[in-house]
Amino acid sequence: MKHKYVMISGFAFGEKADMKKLKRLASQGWILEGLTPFFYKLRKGEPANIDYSLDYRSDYDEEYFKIFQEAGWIHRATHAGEMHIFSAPEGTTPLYLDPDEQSEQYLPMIKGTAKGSASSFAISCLLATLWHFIGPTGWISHILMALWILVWIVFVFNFLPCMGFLFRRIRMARQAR
Amino acid sequence: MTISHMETLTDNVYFILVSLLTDKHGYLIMQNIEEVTGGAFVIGPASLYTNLKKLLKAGLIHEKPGEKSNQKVYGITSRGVEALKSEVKRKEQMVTLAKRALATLDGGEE
Repeated sequence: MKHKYVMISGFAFGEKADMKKLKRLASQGWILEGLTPFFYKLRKGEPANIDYSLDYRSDYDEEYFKIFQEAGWIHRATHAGEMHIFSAPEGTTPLYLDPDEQSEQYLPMIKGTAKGSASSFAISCLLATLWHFIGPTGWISHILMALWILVWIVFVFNFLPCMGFLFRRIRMARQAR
Repeated sequence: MTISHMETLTDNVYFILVSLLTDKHGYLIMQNIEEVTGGAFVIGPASLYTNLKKLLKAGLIHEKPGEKSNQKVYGITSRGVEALKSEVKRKEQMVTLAKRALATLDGGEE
């Protein structure tokens, strides 16, 4: 069976574009089968005229997928246990029709990434202070520096998605008005 | 926002409660709302699931196992009926108010 891997643009910023890209690929017969940390896994099948939609939810049960399936939305993949991708024939009733409710789903994501940003920032400050007292030489200093860089990477990967979700929520709230 | 903190019911919640005056399973609620409103009001599956969870938590609806295995059936509780009644009353007052105001615009005719 033929497979193909396509890069994920990042759900916080590239959700809409990615869902469109997956739709285009499905029309060429490449259907989403699963996710790896950085790639969509696609399987070669029959070309299909389908829409993809992403729903954020960490608190869900069997009933969640059941209701979606009965409404025409097939569960294709779940990322990090809280981002669920569904597909349905073009024209199926969308997941949300109320932009207010749709924007509500980003709240836990915003809170989670904001917490991650704040704690990684605090740890980076702590490490920088320690480094300042220990001085730039010696192995402890090098370990601190390496840790500091790691913590900054964690910060960036929390802060940027946080901004992305926040802007999306604000835009949707404006739409609702 | 939880439902118990809502002063007024959202349209989605309103139609779900009306629909659940007789017990139904998840998808049937969606179909029923679309049917009784003649397609004027449609609710998406994500909205439905979110609102069912909120309504269960607020005690306005209850769930029980359905006839088929792993199927859940929902129904309104007495608290849900109360919430719906007070919402209907609120909506009636709003409609009466607007009707009266419009009537003065038309020269006293209703």
